[in-house]
Amino acid sequence: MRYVTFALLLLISVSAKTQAGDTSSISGQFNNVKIERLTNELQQKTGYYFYYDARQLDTITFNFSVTNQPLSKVLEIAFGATDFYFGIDGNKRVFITRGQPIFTSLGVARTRASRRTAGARADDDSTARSAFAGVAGVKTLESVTISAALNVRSTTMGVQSIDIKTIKQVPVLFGEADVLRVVLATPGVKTVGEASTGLNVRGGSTDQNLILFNDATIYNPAHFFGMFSAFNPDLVKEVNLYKSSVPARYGGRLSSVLDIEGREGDKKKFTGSAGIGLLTGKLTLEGPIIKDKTSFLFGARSTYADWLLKLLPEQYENSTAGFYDVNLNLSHTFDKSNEIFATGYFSSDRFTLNSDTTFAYQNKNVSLKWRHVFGKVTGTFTGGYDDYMYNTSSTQNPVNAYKLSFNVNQKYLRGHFIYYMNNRHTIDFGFNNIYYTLKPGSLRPYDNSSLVEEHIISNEQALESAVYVGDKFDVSNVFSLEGGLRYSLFNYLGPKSVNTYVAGSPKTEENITGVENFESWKVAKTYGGPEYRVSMRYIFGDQYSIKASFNTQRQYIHMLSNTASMAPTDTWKLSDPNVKPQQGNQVSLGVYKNLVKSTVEISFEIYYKKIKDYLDYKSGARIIMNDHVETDVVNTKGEAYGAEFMIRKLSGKLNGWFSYTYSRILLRQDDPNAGELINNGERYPANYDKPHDATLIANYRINKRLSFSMNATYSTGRPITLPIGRYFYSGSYRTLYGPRNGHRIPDYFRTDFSVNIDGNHKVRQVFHNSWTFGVYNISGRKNPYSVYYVSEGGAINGYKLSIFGSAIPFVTYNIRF
Amino acid sequence: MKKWYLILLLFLTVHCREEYNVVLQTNGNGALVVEGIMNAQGKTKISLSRTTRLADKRVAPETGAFLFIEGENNGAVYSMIETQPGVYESEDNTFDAATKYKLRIKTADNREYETDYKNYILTPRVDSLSWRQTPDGLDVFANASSGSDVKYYKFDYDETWEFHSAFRTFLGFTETSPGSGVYQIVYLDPVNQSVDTTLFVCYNSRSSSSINIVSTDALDSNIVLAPVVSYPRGSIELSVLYSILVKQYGLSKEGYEFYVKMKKNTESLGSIFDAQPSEISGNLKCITDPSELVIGYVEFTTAQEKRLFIDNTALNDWAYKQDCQYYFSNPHLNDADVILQLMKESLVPTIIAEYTSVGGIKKFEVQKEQCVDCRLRGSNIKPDFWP
Repeated sequence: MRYVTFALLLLISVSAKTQAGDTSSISGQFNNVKIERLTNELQQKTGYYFYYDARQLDTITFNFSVTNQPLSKVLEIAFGATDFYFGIDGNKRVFITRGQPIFTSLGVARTRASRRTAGARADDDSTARSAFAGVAGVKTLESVTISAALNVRSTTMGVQSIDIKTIKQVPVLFGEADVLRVVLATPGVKTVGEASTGLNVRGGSTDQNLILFNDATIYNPAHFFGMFSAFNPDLVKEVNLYKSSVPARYGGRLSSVLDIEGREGDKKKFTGSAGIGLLTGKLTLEGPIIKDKTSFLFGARSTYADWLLKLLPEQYENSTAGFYDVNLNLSHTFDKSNEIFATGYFSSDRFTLNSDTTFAYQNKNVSLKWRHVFGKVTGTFTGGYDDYMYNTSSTQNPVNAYKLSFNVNQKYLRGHFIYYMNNRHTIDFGFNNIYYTLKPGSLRPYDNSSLVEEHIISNEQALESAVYVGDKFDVSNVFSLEGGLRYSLFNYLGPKSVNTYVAGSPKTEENITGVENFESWKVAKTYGGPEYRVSMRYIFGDQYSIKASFNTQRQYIHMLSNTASMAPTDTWKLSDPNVKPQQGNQVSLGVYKNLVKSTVEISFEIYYKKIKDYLDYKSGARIIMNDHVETDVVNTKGEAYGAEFMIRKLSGKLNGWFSYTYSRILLRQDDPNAGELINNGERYPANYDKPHDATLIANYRINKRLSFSMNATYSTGRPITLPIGRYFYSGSYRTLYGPRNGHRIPDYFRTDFSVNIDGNHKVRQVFHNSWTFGVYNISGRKNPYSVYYVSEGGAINGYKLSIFGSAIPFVTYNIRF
Repeated sequence: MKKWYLILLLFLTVHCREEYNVVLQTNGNGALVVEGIMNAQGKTKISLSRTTRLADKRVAPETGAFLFIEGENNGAVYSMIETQPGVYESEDNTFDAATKYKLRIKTADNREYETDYKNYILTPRVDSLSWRQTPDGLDVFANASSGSDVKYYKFDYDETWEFHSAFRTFLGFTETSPGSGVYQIVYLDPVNQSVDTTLFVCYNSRSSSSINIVSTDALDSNIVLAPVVSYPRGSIELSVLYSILVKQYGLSKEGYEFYVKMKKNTESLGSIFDAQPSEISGNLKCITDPSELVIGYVEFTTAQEKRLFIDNTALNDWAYKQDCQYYFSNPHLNDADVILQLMKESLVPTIIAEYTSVGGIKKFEVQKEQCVDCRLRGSNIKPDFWP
């Protein structure tokens, strides 16, 4: 949230006076107070929000005391001796600028990129607001970036914040701005291949990321075989990825938290935008319902990709594919201390192959959030319902035509409180409850003519609860500490029949000793324990800091997948008496430096991570429709380590970043009592282990209307288990496999390029339009996605498969109104 | 189930498939594969071969190796000789239960392999073999119950069955004189002119080709009732008389797990979407180069066997049918050209339809060869043990 686009107003001749219409009276003692604390306290006392460039102000300390003074007087005292000016508008907003006086007005400022209300934000996420302000003398559309210099100054490490403007600049497949693709370009984040938006963060598997979209957990963040992410970029404000020190408020996944924050609708006037690309079309509408109080934001996207499938060989011409997603965000402000937000999200994917085999999946999420200010404590209560399901059906052969489906849903209630104790301590605390219901699988005959026997795996349910407390403590001007403690508890609940196994022996079907039955709401198994989150920062001088963190996590829900990428047939499994939760510990250390007036940021981080009870699969594991999955999985120990380097230029005609990551994730299964040893108990790479990874993203703006973007990425090929020979044993020919993940597919390299042309910038025209042209994979390199083997005429032949075997041009047209 | 992927594969990938093969990095032609058991009470038979490339369709026997069984401390050495290419056999031996033994192999290229020293496993005897007919077919079980502490078993079996042709015949085509290319019709038994039996009754046999293993880990007692084979109703194997010889071997836990892994690994053949396969090795190691891969688990155990016969008459409506119809209405002339044509069509004479005035064959009926000559589907040599 930290690169905030500041307001700019065009040609405002309104010479509004700095107003002091406030009636609040403030008393207080401010000794050696930094701007952040000063504004926080003033905000608490007055309900006014502050907007400023933290870079300009965070070196200043304030020393004064006031008794029963209005806000304007307090600010005059505070800034009187400096070259800072302040302005207060009619909406309880305070703007602080340097060098030139500020005038507030009722005009609306917009940035070009997203046409949202441009605004600066206070540095605290719970008080984020949009704002408008004008700087006198600014004559043309210009933008000022306010940097909170987070790279160096923040205590949290391993956090990657990307605003939507950056996301939209990166050239992507078919010109569809993609949130996850950009996250993938940051260090420490990888994916197994092109057709996957499953994230592997610092050696974590794709299910170890908590993906939150407006507080809702998204189980499958992909559209169309993983080629697009399921988030409509027009509705996204900002993306935060926490990969090393995760705030105590988040939990339940080992590797990372990806928090995608949607924006609010415009509370002033109706606006909209529409876009059309090769595969998708989209529409966004927003505006006030009650002016200045209630707003809505609606977005929808849909594909019309069928024409592409028509280009396939004749036997597939009856195939269809499509997806859509719909978002509706409502927000309402009751008063300065009460706001509610309601969000709804629905995404759906459906493919039909040869009109007889169908795959479909859906995410459904609704949430309601109430933010209330209790004096010095700001509280947020969120409740909601998340649901993910897939079903596949085949009517290819009427005799065994089937319907197969899976569903997971969760109902949750969260409370999060922030307490500004004083200028050195900010305390947050809260609770988190999730009630899961899983339908692990049902296989049903498609119709009466099918002989498929109905098979339904009984539901699973569980309660995951957590309480947490965290403290951000500024020990001194240069040293800060952030500590968090979270206690999570997981109850696996009946009704359920759970197999029992011979103790100390591998869990196999042969070793089942009996079945234990649990009635409704009866606790079948409880897991739990404390999680620690500690990070610290020490600043040397002003532009250089070191940070360290230690982080522990527990995960009670696991994805079962027999493909390396995320697939629509992946299912989820709750921890139960036979499947232990995963645990992870991570230590990391980083150095950060800002150059050239903080416009260039350099960061270098190293980490080491241990994972316990990571689920891998036994040879020949059956995952779908398995009543006793525990017999097909095996707990492994994981070890991940790596180094991440990033250099990022935030502003200027040329901006972008370069990142390089070295990372390994190695697993080991060396306990003969747990099941077969994998690779003789030696360490082996997980199937998403890609040691080297480098990405360059560069944007060059020629002028206001024309810019170029480039994206180049290289990574080591992922590991794969290959058949390498055959032999005759026990009466048959058998295939000899190499070591688990003992080979690698060839390395990956791709370059994309795009040109953005904006229409004219006349202020008063109703429609603004822009074009994006580009080429995906400009070198046409056939990057292998996988290697596979088929039996052909008694011999086994290997093939290398590329998803995109050539350069793919694209064009997108966007219109805003 | 995995078809959704197909769309993906096809999606802009029509020309994106390229050949890709990885070459196995092992000594010489491939890894050594060792199969068999060290039999503590009888003849030990070990087969050696090499793994081959995926594209190969042959077995590569490892010839010229030396195999020994060595006792720990007592200096006993039992050697084995190569009886067929890659097959090595010992004398009938009886080993000392208190002594540990190991298998040593020295290949022709002077590389040495061995197992660890081990005591043998005394396999309990097969109590009985039983069978059960169901509406769908027939299942055969092996029952081993004993006070033995053996918990894991492997079953191998050899099956033999008698079967009959659909039709008998009196007649046959033979060449008038060797090499003439001219054929005539003759009585197969010229003296008695009776029905031929050498083409009617045949036998076939098969050895197990799947891995049959059983664990009693989860059972209260070590009683084994292991399904061995099953046949769908109407199978030829049970059409006359069927016999199965079940060989039972006690396994160690490691041996059992080796077979579990091998079984799972080889259920399917290397599609990328299949579940994770894994590397397989066993209990042999290469002394010359410890990193060399050796495949196989040679259990030191004893063998128990039992034979079962199942007569078709004991079954209830087995309903075995052959795809053979009578062709009575279409007699053929006894003519060399006609005979040549019939032979081309794989038709053989069965009965005489019309005699000449002197009692010779004027016209005859024919049948498809496979309905008459059982040798096409087996051997007409009766096995020694056949009743």
